[in-house]
Amino acid sequence: MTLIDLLTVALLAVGVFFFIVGTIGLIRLPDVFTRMHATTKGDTLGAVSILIGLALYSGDLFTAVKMFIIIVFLFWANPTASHAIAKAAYRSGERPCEDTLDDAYGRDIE
Amino acid sequence: MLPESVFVAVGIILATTSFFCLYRAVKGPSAPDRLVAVNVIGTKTLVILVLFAFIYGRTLYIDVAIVYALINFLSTLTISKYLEKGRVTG
Repeated sequence: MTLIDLLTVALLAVGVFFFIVGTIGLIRLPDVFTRMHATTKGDTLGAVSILIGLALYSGDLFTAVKMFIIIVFLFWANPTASHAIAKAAYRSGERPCEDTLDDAYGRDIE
Repeated sequence: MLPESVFVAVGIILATTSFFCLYRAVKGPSAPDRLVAVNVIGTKTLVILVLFAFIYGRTLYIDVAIVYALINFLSTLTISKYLEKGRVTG
């Protein structure tokens, strides 16, 4: 195994770890905002590290550029989509669970 | 060169976690929960498509993954706008 192969396997392992953590958060956390908190970061980082690993492994510039397009798009699109979902959830009547200490967005839109 | 079983293993793990996300999408309890779960499944499908490109040695699947990312993002935005305002246009 060369250094590139080792790096690819390490990045794939990191990506799978973050995906699994995000999924555990999606299943176990109490309300929609905390679930989103787990999945947004876990998914973005997991997908991007797997894609970086595969782009290193491909050894082809054209393939790597296409993967880079996906990476940039994911970094831009995933937080935007989560922001839209969070705003829509709050406006459509979802509230944080009762253990929440401070509801800053609720104070702001009153 | 890595054996392709590495990519197959990563794909199988991601597909398994997708089924756990499907539990949240089915059970709910609210519509935004389902939307979050579907968004997560979409991201995992994108990564699985890129893995397919490396397993089968065809870079065509990467183009499919780019289009899938665009459609996933647009559908999420549209459904969240519908949840917020009750309509899609305007």
